[in-house]
Amino acid sequence: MVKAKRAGASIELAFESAKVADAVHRSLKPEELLPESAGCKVSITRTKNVLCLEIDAKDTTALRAALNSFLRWATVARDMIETRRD
Amino acid sequence: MNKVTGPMSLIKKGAEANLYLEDFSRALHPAGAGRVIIKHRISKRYRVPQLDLQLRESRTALEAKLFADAKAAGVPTPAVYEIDRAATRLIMEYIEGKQVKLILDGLEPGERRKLCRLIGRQVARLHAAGIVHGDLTTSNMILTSEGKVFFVDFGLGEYDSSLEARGVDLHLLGRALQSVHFRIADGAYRAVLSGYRREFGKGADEVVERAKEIELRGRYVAKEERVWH
Amino acid sequence: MICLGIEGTAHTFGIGIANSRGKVLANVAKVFVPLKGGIHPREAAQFHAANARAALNDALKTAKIRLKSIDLVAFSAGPGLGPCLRTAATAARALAAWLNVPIVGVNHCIAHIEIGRLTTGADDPVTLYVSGGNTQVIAFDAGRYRVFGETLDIPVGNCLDVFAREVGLSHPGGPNVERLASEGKHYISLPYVVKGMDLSFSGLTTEAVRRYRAGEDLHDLCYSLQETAFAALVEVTERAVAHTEKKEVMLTGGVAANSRLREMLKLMAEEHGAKFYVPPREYCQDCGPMIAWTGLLAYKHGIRQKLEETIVRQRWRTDEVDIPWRR
Repeated sequence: MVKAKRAGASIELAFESAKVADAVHRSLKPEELLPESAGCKVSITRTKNVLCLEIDAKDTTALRAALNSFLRWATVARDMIETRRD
Repeated sequence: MNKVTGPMSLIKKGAEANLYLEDFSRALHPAGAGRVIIKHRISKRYRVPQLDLQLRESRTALEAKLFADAKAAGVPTPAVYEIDRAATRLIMEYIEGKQVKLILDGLEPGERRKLCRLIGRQVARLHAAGIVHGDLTTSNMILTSEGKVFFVDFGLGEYDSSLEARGVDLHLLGRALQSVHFRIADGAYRAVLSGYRREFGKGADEVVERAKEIELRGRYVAKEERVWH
Repeated sequence: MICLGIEGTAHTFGIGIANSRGKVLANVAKVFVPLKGGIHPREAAQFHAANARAALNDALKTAKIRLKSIDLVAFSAGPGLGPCLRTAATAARALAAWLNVPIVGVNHCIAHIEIGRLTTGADDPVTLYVSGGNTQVIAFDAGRYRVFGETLDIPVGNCLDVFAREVGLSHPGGPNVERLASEGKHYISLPYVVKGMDLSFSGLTTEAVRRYRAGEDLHDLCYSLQETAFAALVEVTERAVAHTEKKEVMLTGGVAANSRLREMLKLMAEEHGAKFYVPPREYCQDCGPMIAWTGLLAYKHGIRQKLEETIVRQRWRTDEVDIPWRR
């Protein structure tokens, strides 16, 4: 099994408006401080309607865990505000 | 003089047991004088009979053993005259004296410190003997005219030598002082700890430290208050 | 004022909507059932995330309100499983940020008590809260809910579930144990552990499983397991009742569905001249309305949180929480 010394990923998520992206951004922000496991740093920034997720992990296992978590949270956040009920 | 009292009188109804005051002559032997305490562990309708009896029997026996072992460790306890496992009751010595709860506040400060140090020493003796009392309150302590302090209730006592159990024990005593003797509680508890440290020796600080920690955790609340008349 | 509450501490993802008069407008629960074994936190969190949207839609439809009518968002901030808590918290934050309304994190155990008080009319009970994740005896004293006794190892609901699984009973374990127990006749002595005010169930679980493997009758074992575990729960509750001299006893949590436990507590309460309460089943279980209602109580009594400070607390203790709505 090959284990990289460090593993990183940078992901961009585009939303339909800057307002949606802002709400998702604010909902994810507190989770930045509590990374999934030690040796993993996450930073989230927003440019207009695009969120940029940068993850720097100690190995690919930690990277995958953080990716899964943050993508799950981004999805749930968007699901809560995006449903067109009105 | 052997005072003639009425039939067995209930003096305390607890969650687990009832206490009765009775004449020695009636409870044990016609030739005996004075009075005795009968502690009866009551049946609980919510338990299956088999478990109910098993718990009351084993606790009756355990408390008698704790009384004896505490006494052997140098802590005054009432003599147990009869262990009736089947009837789940203990017949024991009635200790003539004053409940510490009722007199502690009114003592002259030097006397009070002395008494609290003695209590602390006795708790240390229990702990050193592998016993935790489980319910250290001043209502469970009787001060006799010779200046002895009797611990009269081991209903929640256990054999446990862990740091946590000892810490809980001390902490509960601190809590009991705070709630009943709030005016003098801090000084009294300090004196208790000083007696405890002196008697327990090495390792006492660790227990005191744990008691403090438990207080900060805020979880253990003083247990049922028992009154001993 | 209308509050939307999100519960997500373990199996259940729940959304509840309640108003400040104490009326529950919606109660939607999506319950994760593991295929085998116990709960895996990440799998449960994934389930919650996948069901959040449907739960929200159902809740709004039931309440017959629009999203815009929500004035406050509350969520279960702990105690619970980390991944589940963080998913529920993120969902709540997204709503609060989108609607630009306040948000409050609520303690799950306290929410159980508050929805119980609301739905039963109990005022100041000693509460026995028993579920697969928690076992506590709680009573209000000096501004806080104090824990008078609790499990030192596993919760009682977990004890029943683990036993059920080990002896091959299907999910849900508790009700299946109860069903078989009703046909048990012979009491088998099992470890009964009450330490001061605290309880322990792991030795009991292990011994019950061992006795099953040694050939004891399963009905008798289920019966004896219940009798032993519940007697310990009732004894510790009784001590709290005797100590606090409160005149009400409340039973809540998933295990509150067990009729034998109800019967035992009722007998104990009667002996102490106390009234006995059990909330309706849907409010004993983990649910959204308990979070919504407790969020309303907190908000109305001045509790405020900034969105960026709504961090979950996996081990949030019951007695750490200030209760300004009770004085």
